[in-house]
Amino acid sequence: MKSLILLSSLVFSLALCQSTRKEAPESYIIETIPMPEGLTAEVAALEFLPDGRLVAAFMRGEIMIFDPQKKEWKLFATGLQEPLGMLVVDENELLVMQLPELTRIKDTDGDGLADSYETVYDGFGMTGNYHEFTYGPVKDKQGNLYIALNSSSSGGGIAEEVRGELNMDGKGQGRAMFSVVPYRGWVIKITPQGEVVPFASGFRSPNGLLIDDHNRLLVTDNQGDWVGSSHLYHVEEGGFYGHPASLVWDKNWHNGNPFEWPVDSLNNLREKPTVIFPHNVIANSPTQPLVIREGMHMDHFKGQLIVGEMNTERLVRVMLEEVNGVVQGAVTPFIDGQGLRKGNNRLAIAPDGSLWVGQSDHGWLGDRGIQKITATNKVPFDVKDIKLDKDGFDLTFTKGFSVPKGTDLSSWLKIKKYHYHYHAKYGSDRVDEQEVVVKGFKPKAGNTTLSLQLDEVNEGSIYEITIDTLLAKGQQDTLTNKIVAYTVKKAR
Amino acid sequence: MNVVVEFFLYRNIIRIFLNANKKMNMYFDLSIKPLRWCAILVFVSVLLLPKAPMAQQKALEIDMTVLPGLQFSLPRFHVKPGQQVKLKFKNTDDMDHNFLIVKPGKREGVVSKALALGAEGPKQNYVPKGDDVLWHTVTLHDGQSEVLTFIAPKEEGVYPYVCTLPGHGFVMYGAMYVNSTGKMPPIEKDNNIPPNRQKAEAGHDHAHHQSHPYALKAPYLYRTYVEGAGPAAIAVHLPAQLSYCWDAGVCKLRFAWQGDFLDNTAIWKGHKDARSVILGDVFYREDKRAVLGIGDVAQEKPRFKGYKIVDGGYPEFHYVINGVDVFELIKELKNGGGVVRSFRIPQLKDQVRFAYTPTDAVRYYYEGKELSTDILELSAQAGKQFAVEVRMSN
Repeated sequence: MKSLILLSSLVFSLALCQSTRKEAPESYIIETIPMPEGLTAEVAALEFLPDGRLVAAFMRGEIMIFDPQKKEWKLFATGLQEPLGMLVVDENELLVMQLPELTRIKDTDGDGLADSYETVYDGFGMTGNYHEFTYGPVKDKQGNLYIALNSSSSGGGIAEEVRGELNMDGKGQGRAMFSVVPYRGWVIKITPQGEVVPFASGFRSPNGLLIDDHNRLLVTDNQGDWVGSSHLYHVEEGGFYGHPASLVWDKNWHNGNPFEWPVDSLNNLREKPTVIFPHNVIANSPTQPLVIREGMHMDHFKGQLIVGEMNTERLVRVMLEEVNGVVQGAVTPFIDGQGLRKGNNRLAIAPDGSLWVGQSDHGWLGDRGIQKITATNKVPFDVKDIKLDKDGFDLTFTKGFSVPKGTDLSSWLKIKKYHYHYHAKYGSDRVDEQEVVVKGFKPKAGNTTLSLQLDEVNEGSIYEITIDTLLAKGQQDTLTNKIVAYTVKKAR
Repeated sequence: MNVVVEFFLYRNIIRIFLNANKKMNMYFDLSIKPLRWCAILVFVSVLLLPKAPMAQQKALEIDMTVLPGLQFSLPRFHVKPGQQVKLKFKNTDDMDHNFLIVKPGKREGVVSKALALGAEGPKQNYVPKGDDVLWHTVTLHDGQSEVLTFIAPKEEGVYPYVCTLPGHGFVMYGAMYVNSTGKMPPIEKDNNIPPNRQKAEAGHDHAHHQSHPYALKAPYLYRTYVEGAGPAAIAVHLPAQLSYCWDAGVCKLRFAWQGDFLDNTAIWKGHKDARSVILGDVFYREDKRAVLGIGDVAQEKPRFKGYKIVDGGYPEFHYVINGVDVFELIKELKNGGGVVRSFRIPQLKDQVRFAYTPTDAVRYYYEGKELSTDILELSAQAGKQFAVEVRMSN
């Protein structure tokens, strides 16, 4: 393992030295970080301290700190229950979201080990169900904290003794996830003054929160009942995001069991996803999003999002735009295969711009451990961005493309459109799936942009664009990722 | 035939069979759970009646379920060529699964083809077309089951079975051995089953695994789900083989035990409402709703504020009752014969009432004197800091 890292570092150093002269052979270098012996490295949370050390929380309750220079792990805290979220305050203080509460963990005597575990917020219910995961906190520009509470799973039950008020109206039939104690399936806001605001409802398994560069709260949700394919939401106060169970804790809800409400009424009430991750194509279990920022050597994607994915050996890149006041956009694979493992649960950016990925399985599909991704000076030939047009899409590429001789664009670019059901059933087939005829292909800007002209663009459809064997101009590189799926919430 | 007699008869036959098998370097899966013996009974009964005409032979019944962590309950099983088989696959997991039996050597190919179905997968139950798949179920949700009834192949060989939901097939598989001798390789050398199932005695080696990347030295704690407490429980292991469970939901000691601490094997797998299992004898259980009463006003629900790790590594719990901060520290008695419960209430201005549950198993002491009722009342002065001892009676 060590030699592998040494070798990779060497390759990378060489790549850096020659950066002005020669392009690295690969766009990304993936290293596997050595983990301490005896650790079950199911990564639950991952962040960097201001001094550049990595802090990682694990499902069995340990928090450990890794010094990338010395390559040494040190224990910081123990005894936590599934600490799935973390916000760094400083080198001696963390806010940690664990199953029962949000906790401020401090090392007050400077010996490197935490000695103070202060409860910040535990005012939500618990039923003893194994699926009552908790996520966050993330902090907005005003200093508000946001956490998310998983709905409870029908794969488990309700213990005899619960924490919080019990309301069985939050339970549906069969496989429905449920919310029989307060705020399961909610995003909660905690103000700097400590005021607690139930912020938004309707979440099933929201294993990923982010405040983006525009101070927007973005949350991922996992495919299952009422989530036909996994979602990313732009979450706003008072919104209902689709899973009915949590409605029972809305102070304006007076309609009994929300599962007995007509699906049409629920559908009208819900906010539609900002972006859908097509199941089995892009991601089956999306996790934490983060913003690609300067210094990551990925300036071509700056401001876009990377989202983790549990089930496949990849991450996902999200390209957002605002269309008539609505945030929406597209997804495409990012670093697919190439040595990255599965179970990509948590992401963190190091001070040197490298992207660290924490992996977990915890009885589901996944892997364990931490990998580090470093972008080299080789720009990948990839879809750089996609924008919705009045009558189609504008695709831009990181490099100019060339069309193979003797072929035309229509032979290597196909578009399908479809949508998913909103229903109680677990997951959804694709609905009304059909080929879309591309009327016009217009290469622009030295073949770095391609305008696709369609007959019409329908709101509520996902447009899945498949691009085959496209070559970078004057190079042997074919397009790295061949699928882009745009969720049209709003047409132009 | 009398069922009991039949059972004893078969049990003895199995024993003989197993002994014989050992000598012949043939193995049964001893890792199989007791319930599975039903299936094995039938299996053995079939094996022992080789001359019975096919038509009268009862089908071999196999029960297959799902264990946490993408595993089939049976890593492998044996059937005879041409044998009638009734395999019941019940999905006992919270994820969806299917069950396919494929031709020898075709598992990886079938898994890749299933993956290539992409968005078409669900419609086809993730079963790729072609004749490599011999038998399969549909995609089953949690709790659903399907029975596959088939005649085992005439051709001897190792027939893989696998779940082909995306990604599952690389880890979730097993082997159906089809031969007339019942021979299977030693399980620890069987490359037809997943590496983590290649254990002679699965389930008995957990104690030797390290739980954490550091040595555990009491006192230490886990926030975890434990039977007999609310979901916001904190389990603390003390020196002298003593442990207790303190409940942050209701801010009180729930119970204390003597012996080993906890078995977290099941809860660490994280599925199906597992609990930390107490490895000892509970000698005290608190039945009183409220342990501390401060002032005369009606008691508010206590609010948990967290804990500090104090000298010696013990947690001191902090909570608020009627606006008054309370700090509670529980340690072992030096002789190991019980625990001492220390309270600090620095801003106490009223009297405080400490309630406990008298039982035959323990005696309560305050300042060296045994308490005779179920309540200790202390003045504001005495109540600012006090300790009671819980001594085991034996």
